[in-house]
Amino acid sequence: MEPILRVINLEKIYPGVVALKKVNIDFYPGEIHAIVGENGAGKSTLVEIISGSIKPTGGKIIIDGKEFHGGVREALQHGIAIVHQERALVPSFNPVQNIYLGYEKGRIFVDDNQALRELKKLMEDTGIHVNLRIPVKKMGEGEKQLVEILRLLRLRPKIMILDEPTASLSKDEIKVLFSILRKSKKQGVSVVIITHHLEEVFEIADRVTVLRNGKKVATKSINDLDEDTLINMMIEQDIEARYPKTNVPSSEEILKLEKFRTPDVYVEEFEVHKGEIVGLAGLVGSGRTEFLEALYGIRRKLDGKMYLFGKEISIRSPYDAIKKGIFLIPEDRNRKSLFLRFNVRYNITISFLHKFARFFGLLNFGSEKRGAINALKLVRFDINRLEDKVKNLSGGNKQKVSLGRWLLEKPVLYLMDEPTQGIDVGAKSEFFQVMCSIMNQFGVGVILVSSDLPELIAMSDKIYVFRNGMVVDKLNREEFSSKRILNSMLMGKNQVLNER
Amino acid sequence: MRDEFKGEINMIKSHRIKVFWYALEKYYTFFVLLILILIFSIISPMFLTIRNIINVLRQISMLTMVAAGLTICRAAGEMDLSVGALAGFTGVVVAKLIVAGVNPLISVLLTLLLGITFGFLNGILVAILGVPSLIATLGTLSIARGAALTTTNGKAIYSDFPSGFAFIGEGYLGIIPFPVVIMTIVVVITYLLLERSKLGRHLYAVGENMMAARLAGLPVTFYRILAMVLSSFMASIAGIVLVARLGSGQPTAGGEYLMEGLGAVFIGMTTFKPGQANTMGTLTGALLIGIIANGLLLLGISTYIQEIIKGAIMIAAVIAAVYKEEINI
Repeated sequence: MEPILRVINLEKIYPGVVALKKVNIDFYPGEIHAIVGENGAGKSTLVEIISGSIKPTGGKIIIDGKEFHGGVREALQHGIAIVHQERALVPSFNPVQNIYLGYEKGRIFVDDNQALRELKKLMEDTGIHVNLRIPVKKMGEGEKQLVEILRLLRLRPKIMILDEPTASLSKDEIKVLFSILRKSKKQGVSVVIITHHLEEVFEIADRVTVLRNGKKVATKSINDLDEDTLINMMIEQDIEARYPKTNVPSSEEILKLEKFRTPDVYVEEFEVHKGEIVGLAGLVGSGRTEFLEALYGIRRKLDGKMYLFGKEISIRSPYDAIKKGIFLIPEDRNRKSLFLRFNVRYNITISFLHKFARFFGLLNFGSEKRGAINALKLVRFDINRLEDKVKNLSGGNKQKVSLGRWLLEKPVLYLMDEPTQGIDVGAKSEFFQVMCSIMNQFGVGVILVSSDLPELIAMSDKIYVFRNGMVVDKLNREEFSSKRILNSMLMGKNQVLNER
Repeated sequence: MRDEFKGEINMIKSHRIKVFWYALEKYYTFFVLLILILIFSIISPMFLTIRNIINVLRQISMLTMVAAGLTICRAAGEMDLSVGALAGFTGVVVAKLIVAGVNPLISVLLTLLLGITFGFLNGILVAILGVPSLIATLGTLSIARGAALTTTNGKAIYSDFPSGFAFIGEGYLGIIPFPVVIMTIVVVITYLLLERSKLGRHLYAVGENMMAARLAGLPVTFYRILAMVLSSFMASIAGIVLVARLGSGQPTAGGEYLMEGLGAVFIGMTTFKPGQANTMGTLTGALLIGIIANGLLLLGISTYIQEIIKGAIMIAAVIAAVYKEEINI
């Protein structure tokens, strides 16, 4: 069979970064082709080039025997459509307006009703259901993702590209998506899917291409692979090392809360010891983020006592928290933590610039640079990239910068909110290695919020389970079981106790 | 082996070319300025005389003071449309105080205090009440303009100002006009503040990502107010110098400083630190505006056509920069 899409010696070189290096892949009609690799391996760059939104610096793309020279419109004309990793929706438009953007129905005036009828039929055929009447900004992430997928399907492409489509979907929605992909495959569509979840790769893909550092490692049929081989191809590292836990909890108490109440959260008692990782489990919206933000002084505390090393403290602003060595690594680092157009050095030193200020508040750049380098060495960040803009870094490196900022002063307690979100396997394990070595060096405590349960169980010393703003269960390490945690997350502790 | 070696040489060569292009891109506007100077000095022998250069500097001095304030404001992510009207208002206030017999030094200090208060009000509107700065300062622009007209009843204030006050506008230090001295001080202080100090870094951080700045422990509200205050403060200095130079308080004076000041800041955003308002860029922008006006004047081109050419050059400079680097305004 002839390949429908051929990528030949494709290269993309950014100033100072090689994103793709001489990549050759053939895609066939009627196959589902998964592309896997760590963050920064070049997966997104590859599909962005194929879909015409990024221009390559070398190599060729052949579609149906004809060379493709880039451009989003041209890609669509060639039958290539993509669901981007980032949302590409107009927030104030409803799904109909979004899906038909650029393809509005009607001759002179826009006829949304005709579009609506078409769309309803499409939803019926595919089994995807979204509310078509409300603006997408009012939708949850999962529903937005479904809107993007509907838009892709409406275009009836010959080549379908999905960049991490399952990240914000529920289990059922993923099932629906996969059945649609299988149906499209039968109709001869070539499906290209990027995902971090290897079990999904084994569930749906026919062939897999592994990328590492911008180079193709191999393209293999799924039948010739198992999970271990695949991971080893991705990271050159043992799986046992995925969650390196080397921190040593001591009995010395750092933080203690008594009857801690905010408008969203109530915590009866809570303790963190030196060198201890306290995991917070719970569903999205269970109050974990709100709890961390209250500890950090962004949210109001109503009631209750907070002790640091046995002394009662009150924290009213991030400034108070930082002065006491309580540091937050927020979720969504691009929005809440980083200054993307600043270089790495600026991002590292921003909270402690006073350490480098001399007379009249003028900065001593030499000592600032030394301070930043010291912090970056602790997080094992390549110091040659000190002056690079943060927006050009991969997810794992961005997270290292987020953490590195909090090493200019002696840390006491880290509040980490989904620190490994959007980071691949290799960078994840390196992040935890770095975290544990810092914990051992400084005797720091960590409160870790993570929605990745295996990760939480592997890394934590004890776990508090949150549900509707309350702690419903507390487990010590020897009691950890994903079943009990899931039960508490979903139904609360009492029910669990009754079951026992 | 030989091929590999060749490849390496090619890489070094291409790297050098890249560095060259990078420098050209980054200092593009600066090169435009140099080329304009070259062209004007070839066409008009008068252009590159010391007298004319000093003349250009004096002409742009007040504009540059306003633009320096706007640069700080833009760095913190805010906009200030009220600067021109405020310069006019503070101008008539200082004139009125002096005419009323208040000691000139005290008049100047009181006027600067008025400017700071005005900026503080802008800051409260923006940072505490949450009115977008573009809208808030559009409102205070009108208020300042109206206040200037009300205080003067719409008429200019003429008077023989005491020589000490007139010196601000017309005096010389050696061969350097005093407004140019003030401009230099303002520019140097702005540069040190924005590029070299903790405060400046924090202002840029607030402008780049307010949420991240807050979570990094910076007093965001304070910095936003401060940016508005500094912008107003520098506009007030310009207003005072303007009156001392004109020898009269004109209620409608200063209006053009807003457009030209913003022009200088936006041109400046194309160079030195592309994409961000920065002091050296703003100075380049102000010089560009001043030199174009002066050069065209020497060539005998009418002031009406000058306006058109000025606008076109400003747009051309920004187009070239936008092509490479995102500039969000």
